[in-house]
Amino acid sequence: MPKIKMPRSSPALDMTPMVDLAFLLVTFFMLTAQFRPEDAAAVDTPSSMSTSPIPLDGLMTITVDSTGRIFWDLTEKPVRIAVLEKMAERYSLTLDPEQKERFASLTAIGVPMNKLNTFLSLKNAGERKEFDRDNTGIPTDSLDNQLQWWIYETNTLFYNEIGKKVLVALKADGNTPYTRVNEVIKTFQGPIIQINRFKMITDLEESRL
Amino acid sequence: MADVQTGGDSGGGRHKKKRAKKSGTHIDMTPMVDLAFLLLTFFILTTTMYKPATLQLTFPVPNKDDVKPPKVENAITLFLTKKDQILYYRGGFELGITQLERTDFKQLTNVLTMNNKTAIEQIQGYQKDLMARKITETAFDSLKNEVQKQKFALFAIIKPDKDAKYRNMIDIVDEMDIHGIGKYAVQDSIKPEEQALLDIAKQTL
Repeated sequence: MPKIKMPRSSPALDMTPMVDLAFLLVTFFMLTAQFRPEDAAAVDTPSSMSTSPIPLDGLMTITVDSTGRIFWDLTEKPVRIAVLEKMAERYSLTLDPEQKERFASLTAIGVPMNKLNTFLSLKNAGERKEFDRDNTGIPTDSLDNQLQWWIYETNTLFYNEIGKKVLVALKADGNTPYTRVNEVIKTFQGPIIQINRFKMITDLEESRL
Repeated sequence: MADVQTGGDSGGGRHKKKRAKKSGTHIDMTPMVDLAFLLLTFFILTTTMYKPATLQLTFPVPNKDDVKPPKVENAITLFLTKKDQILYYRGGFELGITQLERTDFKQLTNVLTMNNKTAIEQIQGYQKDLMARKITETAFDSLKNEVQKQKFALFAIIKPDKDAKYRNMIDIVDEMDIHGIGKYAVQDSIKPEEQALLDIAKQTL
């Protein structure tokens, strides 16, 4: 019997389509990935069953971290600068254009007005973080309720420039004492601002993910 | 090289051309594939779906002194307090009679369903109709809203005390939505007589 010779097929297969696909996916993931901007305060929001998404623009966020420090944030850059200018005027601060530009590019701000000048002079993020850590956040005490003015100026300037009302969101850490959050809510409802409707930012409940 | 003529051989047909060796166009792509999949895996694994949600809440407009709060028919007053505990009482506050009962977030479902039976039964009835396609979704929503507004539907008054955490407040508002309680309010005004009862009850927590 003659031996049957199996045709020796080469083990190399054409990997081109696979590479195409792999790189396509890599490119897709790289391009669609959005880096989360680093927050000034680490906030672990409580979870809820609510699924209504958070709006991406026209949003003013008041953050309260677990130690009760308060931060202010606004998504629109031009309005941020306008708010800063108004606030500087109110507290008679003089800020140079570089500081204003830096303020616009930052996210949450949580320094009292008397330290804002120093804060905005800090050039790198590490220093600002350090500075933030030693700070007490935006004061809300009744003698000098700076939070109230931040919100007031944001409300009016946003309405003037964009033509609609700014959305207000409260983002507080789950472990914040309620009394502290209540102070913020009381500020919202105060005679000058009068915000009675706002959104509270929560995480999705684990079971919904 | 091929052009170098050797004298007198010009007419002798095509001379031997040294051909460039045709190397295969196949390159080994294995390392590249390795890299591509490594990156792919990295990006897939490090991507966390960051999807915060929002909870819309309307707070009651701060009361002016001359406006009396409306008489509440079927109320439950829930005090949020330390260690994620809830103390509650039904109906209006009557000095000497009202007693606080204790529950927590796990048992809250029972408390809320027990106290809101009529409304829940009605809503479940509509839900059956919805499932059987007797009514549309919008009709269901408006019927549900209607039930929630009725007098027999539970009205929850939520009062976080000074030991409550913000999480407790979110959780309880969430529970209200889950249990279809349309009428609820978060208040921070704990009356002195309520506070006295609360203080006693808190000692045993």
